[in-house]
Amino acid sequence: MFDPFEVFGFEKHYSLDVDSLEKRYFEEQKKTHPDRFALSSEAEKDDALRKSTALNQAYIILKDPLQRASFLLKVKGVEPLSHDPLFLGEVMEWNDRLEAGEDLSLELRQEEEKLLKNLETAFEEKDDESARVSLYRLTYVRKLLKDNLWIASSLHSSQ
Amino acid sequence: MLLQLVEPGQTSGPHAHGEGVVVGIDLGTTHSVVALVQDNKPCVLDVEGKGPLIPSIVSLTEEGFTVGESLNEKLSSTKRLMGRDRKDPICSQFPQLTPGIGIRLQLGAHTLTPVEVASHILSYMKQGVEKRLGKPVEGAVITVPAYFDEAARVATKQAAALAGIRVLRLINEPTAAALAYGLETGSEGIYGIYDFGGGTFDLSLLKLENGVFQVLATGGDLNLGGDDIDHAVAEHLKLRDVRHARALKENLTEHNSFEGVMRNDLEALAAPFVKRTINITGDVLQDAGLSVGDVKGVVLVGGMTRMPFVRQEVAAFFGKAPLCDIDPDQAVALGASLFAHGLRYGSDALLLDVTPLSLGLETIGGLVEKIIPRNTPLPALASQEFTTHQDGQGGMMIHVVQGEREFVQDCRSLAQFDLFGLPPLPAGAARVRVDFAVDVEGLLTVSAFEKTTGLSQHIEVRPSYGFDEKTLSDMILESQKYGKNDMQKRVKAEEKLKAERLSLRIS
Repeated sequence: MFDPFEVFGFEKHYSLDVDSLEKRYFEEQKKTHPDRFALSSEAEKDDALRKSTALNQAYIILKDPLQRASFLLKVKGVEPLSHDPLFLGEVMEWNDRLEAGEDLSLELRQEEEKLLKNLETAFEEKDDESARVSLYRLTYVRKLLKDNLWIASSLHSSQ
Repeated sequence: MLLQLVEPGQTSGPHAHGEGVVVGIDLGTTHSVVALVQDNKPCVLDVEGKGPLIPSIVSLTEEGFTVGESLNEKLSSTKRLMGRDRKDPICSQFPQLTPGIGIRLQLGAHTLTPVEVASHILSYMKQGVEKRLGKPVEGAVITVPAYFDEAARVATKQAAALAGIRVLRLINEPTAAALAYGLETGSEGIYGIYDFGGGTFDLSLLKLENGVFQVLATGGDLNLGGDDIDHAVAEHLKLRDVRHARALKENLTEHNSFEGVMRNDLEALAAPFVKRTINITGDVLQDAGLSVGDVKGVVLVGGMTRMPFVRQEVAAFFGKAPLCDIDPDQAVALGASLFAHGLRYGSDALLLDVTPLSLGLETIGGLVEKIIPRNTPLPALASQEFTTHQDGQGGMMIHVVQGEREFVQDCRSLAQFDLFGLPPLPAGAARVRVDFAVDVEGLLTVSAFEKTTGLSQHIEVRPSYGFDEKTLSDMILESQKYGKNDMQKRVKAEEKLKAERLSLRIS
């Protein structure tokens, strides 16, 4: 399995400083990006392409708390949650309000923030059950935020 | 035709490495510009003493095809047709289009593809530079709108190959413009590049830090440019010649009235188009999860940004005065020349670009499964596993599309091929992995592997858009084991695929 932490030489920890990740990402890309090898041999170019691609893949996963958490749970063999009836009721309610044209961005962002906090705590306390519940819920909140954006922008362009 | 086909990678003559020059080329909708770095300074080249702006026009004279403004029969703004197909609504703007498959434009007794038109312009610039400097052009960085799709990028490379130009790299116009402003050295923070040209509009957001130039998000409209405003003006004032409308527009940039037309009238006609650029700008910001306040500065590129009204609107949206000290018509070529120089001689700056449009596969019900979402950093690689949906299913159709919409019919079809020779297994047991790899120029390679039997069957499809814009390709998976039975299997699989066009199921 592709290990994004290994690409950066990081320990497999959920908590991660995004600024230092980015700094490291830039430093590594400066060394491996294919543009650095514009005049090199094909073999060197291929190698650069492979390394640079892996860095990008790892960067995408690590900088996103959801993808990072999802990877760490997978490594531990924790199955993703497939059902959360309690939360689904809330999701349906949000959906109805979105369809009615309500702008939920503030509310959803607060929910996202709260769940991200829970996720971090769950990893700190090695509480896999709580981690997978938070992750499941976050996935829905993300989707709702996207829908909300879409509705907001279609309202704005029809004005 | 005086065209010579040279494969990319070959230079145009027996010159030793180091003798030639590398240039930056802005291959624009209405005009093109070529620049190069001399004495560590980028400068645009006046190829034939007629000014640095070369009209992107090919006409037919007694001497053959010539590039530049002309009273003769001519083809212009054909960049808008790069990588397009007949179904595209843009085609209606080109009365020279000939009937039949593919896009060909009538010019006298000849017909030219948009790629051939572009290659004439590129060839003209290459020859001009070589004549002027007495040195061969060793390579070029050519700019394309950030929003150019796969097909248009490939078409641009084909045009360069036809003109005998080795493409060091395609880069996006807004990124080139940012390079011209030297943003990569002196500045830190997030910058917006607002590029409103003759034919296209692009908005890109770039983050600059320690010499790294990271594109965060990009968006635009391939069918939104100054040309549209010219047409609107011509229609409103009932002018027969669009060039007249353009002259009016240009004059009203400096004067409050011209030929009895007031600047206000022009602004009223331009307003809906400018509003669209502002809406797109807002969408790109949202896409990146940023607000106006996060943007440290805005760079203006493209001829349309000379218009005071455009500057006002951009300044009002961002709440700050935009940067415009470099000629907006030249910034892109200047930046491209700096990039070419950096590739050739090394540079401290690094450019990290993103995919402008999502790439995906067709799945059940004509839906699109996105494999690489837009704004993914390049080079990118992503995989998706598929499984069969019927017992003994021997084939699978793979349809690669580009675009943001949910349904295949609303996206651009890039390539379509059938995988044959799958092992006869129960439904859901065969596993096919499809890999999408996008290189630093935004060009895609698709590979498919059949995993279950360890056959490691593998094909590579680089969507190639022939001069006839043929977008469908049919490929047979070559199998070491099943090779001999391929034809037989193919017939069987085709029957099955006909009955059930799409039998992909995401595992």
